[in-house]
Amino acid sequence: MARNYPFSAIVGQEDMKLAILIAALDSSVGGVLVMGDRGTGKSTAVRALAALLPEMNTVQECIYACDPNAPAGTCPICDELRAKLKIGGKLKTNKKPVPVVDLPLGATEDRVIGALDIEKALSSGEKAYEPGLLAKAHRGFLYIDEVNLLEDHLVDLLIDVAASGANVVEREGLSIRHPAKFVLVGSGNPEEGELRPQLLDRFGLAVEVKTPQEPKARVEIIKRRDEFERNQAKFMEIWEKEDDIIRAQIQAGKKKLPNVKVDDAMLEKVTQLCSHLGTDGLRGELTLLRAMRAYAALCGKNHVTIEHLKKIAVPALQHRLRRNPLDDSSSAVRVKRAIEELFPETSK
Amino acid sequence: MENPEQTQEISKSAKLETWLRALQVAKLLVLNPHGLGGVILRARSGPVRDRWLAYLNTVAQLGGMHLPLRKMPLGISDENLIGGIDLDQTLRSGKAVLRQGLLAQCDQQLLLMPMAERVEVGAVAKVVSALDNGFISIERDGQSRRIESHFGVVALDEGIEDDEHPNEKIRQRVAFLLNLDVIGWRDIPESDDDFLPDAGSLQYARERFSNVTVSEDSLNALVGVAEQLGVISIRALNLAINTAKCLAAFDREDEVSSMHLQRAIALVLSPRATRMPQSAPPEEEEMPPESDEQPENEQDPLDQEPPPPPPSEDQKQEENQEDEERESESNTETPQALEDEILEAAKAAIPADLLARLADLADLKTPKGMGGKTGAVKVGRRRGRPLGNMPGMPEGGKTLSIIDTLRAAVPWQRVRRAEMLAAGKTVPLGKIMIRKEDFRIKRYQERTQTLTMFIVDASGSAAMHRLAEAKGAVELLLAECYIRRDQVAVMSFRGSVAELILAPTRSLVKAKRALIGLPGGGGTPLSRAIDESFEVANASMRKGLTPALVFLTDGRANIAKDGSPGRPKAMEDAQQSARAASYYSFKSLWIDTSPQARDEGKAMAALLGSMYLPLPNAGANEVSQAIMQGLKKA
Repeated sequence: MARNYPFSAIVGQEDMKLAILIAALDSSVGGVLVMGDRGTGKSTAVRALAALLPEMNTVQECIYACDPNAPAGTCPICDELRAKLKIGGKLKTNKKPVPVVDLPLGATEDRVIGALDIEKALSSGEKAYEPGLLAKAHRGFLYIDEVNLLEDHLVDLLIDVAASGANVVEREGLSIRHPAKFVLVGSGNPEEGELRPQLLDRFGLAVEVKTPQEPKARVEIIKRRDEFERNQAKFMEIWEKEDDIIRAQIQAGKKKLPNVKVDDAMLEKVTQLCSHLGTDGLRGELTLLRAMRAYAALCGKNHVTIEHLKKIAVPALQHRLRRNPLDDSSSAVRVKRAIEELFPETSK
Repeated sequence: MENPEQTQEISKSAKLETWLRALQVAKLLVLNPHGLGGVILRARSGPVRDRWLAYLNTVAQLGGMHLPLRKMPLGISDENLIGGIDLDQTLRSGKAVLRQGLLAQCDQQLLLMPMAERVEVGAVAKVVSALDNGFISIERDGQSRRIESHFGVVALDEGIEDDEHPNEKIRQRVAFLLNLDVIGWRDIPESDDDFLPDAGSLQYARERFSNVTVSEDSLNALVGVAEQLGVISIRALNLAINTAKCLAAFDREDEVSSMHLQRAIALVLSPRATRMPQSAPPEEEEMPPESDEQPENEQDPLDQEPPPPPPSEDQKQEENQEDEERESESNTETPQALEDEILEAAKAAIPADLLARLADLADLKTPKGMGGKTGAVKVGRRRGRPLGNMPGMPEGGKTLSIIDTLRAAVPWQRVRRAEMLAAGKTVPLGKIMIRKEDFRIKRYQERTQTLTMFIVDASGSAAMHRLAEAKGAVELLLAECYIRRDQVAVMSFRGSVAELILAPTRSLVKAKRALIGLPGGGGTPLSRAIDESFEVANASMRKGLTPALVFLTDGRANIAKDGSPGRPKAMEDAQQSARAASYYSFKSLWIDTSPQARDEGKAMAALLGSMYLPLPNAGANEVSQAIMQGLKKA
């Protein structure tokens, strides 16, 4: 199997890379939606993400790879395991890579939510639940390329599970509820139809990518691609070192995250910006706040500053603005304009 | 639009050249189907296309492909395309048996896509995802597999109209775009046997092409030429490199020479040109002065003076000395000179019909930000075609799919029997037990899709007071149409023409973009607007849509059908057009945007059979409200 193109070797596309790193650092920010020109390395970046993620601690015998520190009552298997423990005993744990699961177009519902194991049903008449892609993606990432072409009934399903963090399967008298908390990552081309607002809202950050126009960058892109295709082993060897640096940065950021402070003045600014933009509900505010903290942590800072806010406001808010038919400018421009109007004194 | 007379003027030698290029493409595809992605062959069914396919077949067999062309039927189901469970085998063996789909069966071969311009976008997306990944990911019917498959696509584009094209996704991923419609069967040689490669050199090239190297100068030149031609896509650049490597491998060389690069660019980039390359350093989006250039003489663009090399270039000469490898005649050139030389060749290779279109483009004041290919993107058409099934109860007008329900129930019979026995119930022999979760309902591909077409008066009289409101209203309605999954189209008329500025689409982004660029001012060619809008509406009906037309105008025509000014004649023509259009009896709405309601508008609406809505001094919100109400009633 061909290996994935390394994340660090992707030329340019800083916004996209930053959004992905923030989602990797703090999954509570919510997913990432990458929309834009074709052939800009959208899928490449997401697929490369897997290599950047530090391993996670899991309950060894749980098929959903739950966090040993997860509260009781979230996972039926962990609960069962806990019940069997002696007093003071601990669940066996091991390290596993963070899953990055592809949800391909054409997937059927039974594979997405899970169903009875067809083979066991046929051969022994046994009813065994076979987890689906949502279970596989638990604690990791669920990636949907061409997300705007995903069939409606699957979209409904995703919206539901992404909100509740749990997947419920009712089939053949089998009633299963298992945890399915994942970061949704979608990519697509806006010219082929837009996303339902409900699904749009499930994404924490949204970035737009464009084909690089600058000749030097373009030469670099095709040069690296050529090197990657011709001598993969050597190419990977060079770039894996760069990937290591990013991985360390994520890890350090994760450690730092609980200590990152947001002072009241900053909170005030967030509220101000969101109300100025009329972003729906509290989701935008919350996401912006979390993304700011994650970004500060990624930069190795203890405090969130106005610069962090400015950098992250566009991806955190641009997909939540109401359409304004009399304003032709893009959402990103409107967010930027609002920032300039509200916080002119601090802009450099 | 269509320029048949210009197509005719392509010289015999140019046609032969096109044919030879097509044969070259066939050879390259056999050599590296997956790396080159494939070809879009614009050609109607006929002897020329058959000849090319036969040639491809022969070369493929020489190259060791056994079943080189696997056909992908239009409207293929996901199950057949991607794969799924083989129910028969599964039941017989008691083990889950996977049935491979067409894409998996195409490994190392070519997928033949007839009528590619009509393939539904969902199917296209699945094909291109396999192309990108080199594997097919199956998550269906309880099966989770990943099957490697490296194939190329031969998409037969039988589109006749200018806007009928295979989906842009495919266009992006195939190296070659060939137009054989310009060639007649008399133009091609009697036999192509002389051009057949021998199996040995195919074999050799196949083993080597992936090791062929490309110098950095070549990459720089490639990027430079692409920019001059207005080719933005990075994928096209990668495909050009892969093509150059294959060409070099055919010539048994280890490095891409400038000649290979030149040929690769002519094959891959030239057909994608969105502007005429210029001699002088380009000013953004400027068109060349010789826009009226006749395309019949393909050499013409070559006559342009090559750019005077900047003086500093001469000093760069030495830098190029490291270019030690076997070189073509151009080995001592500077990178800039290399680029220029290739550019000239690339220009010469721009297909004649495209050249004509590029020249047309030069007349446009504002090239749209879509790479000059407005309308080339064809998003899946919505027709009343069954689209497989989904779990659900047959209620609320949904149709039960009996076969699929049975299929879903079959694997679970043993479990259910055991369950029934355990519960102490009797199990009827020879009966199949169907439960609620087995029910499958049929899905259709949005058979009741509506096309709402806006015909916006952008003339001077309307532009003054109403264009802004009209734009705003259209945008509000677009959002509404999107929620209902309708398609929208926008036509504007001003000066002496009516122009379809947005072909039917579901994309809000495109619609907004089209509206932003909508200029105002000029006369009111109402007659043309009516004629052309009904033509588009009629065409959309043939494609399975239900058209509804919304006119936003003050109805004061002052440009006649033939483009001449003068109100009486213009009004008469408009009335005639309206009468003719009323035969279609499409749902339509006439919004009178003049400050005071006028009789002209009302009369016109009556002739058209449309609903009439006078809207003096209404804002965007009111207009859109009125339209929504009106369309419901109409």
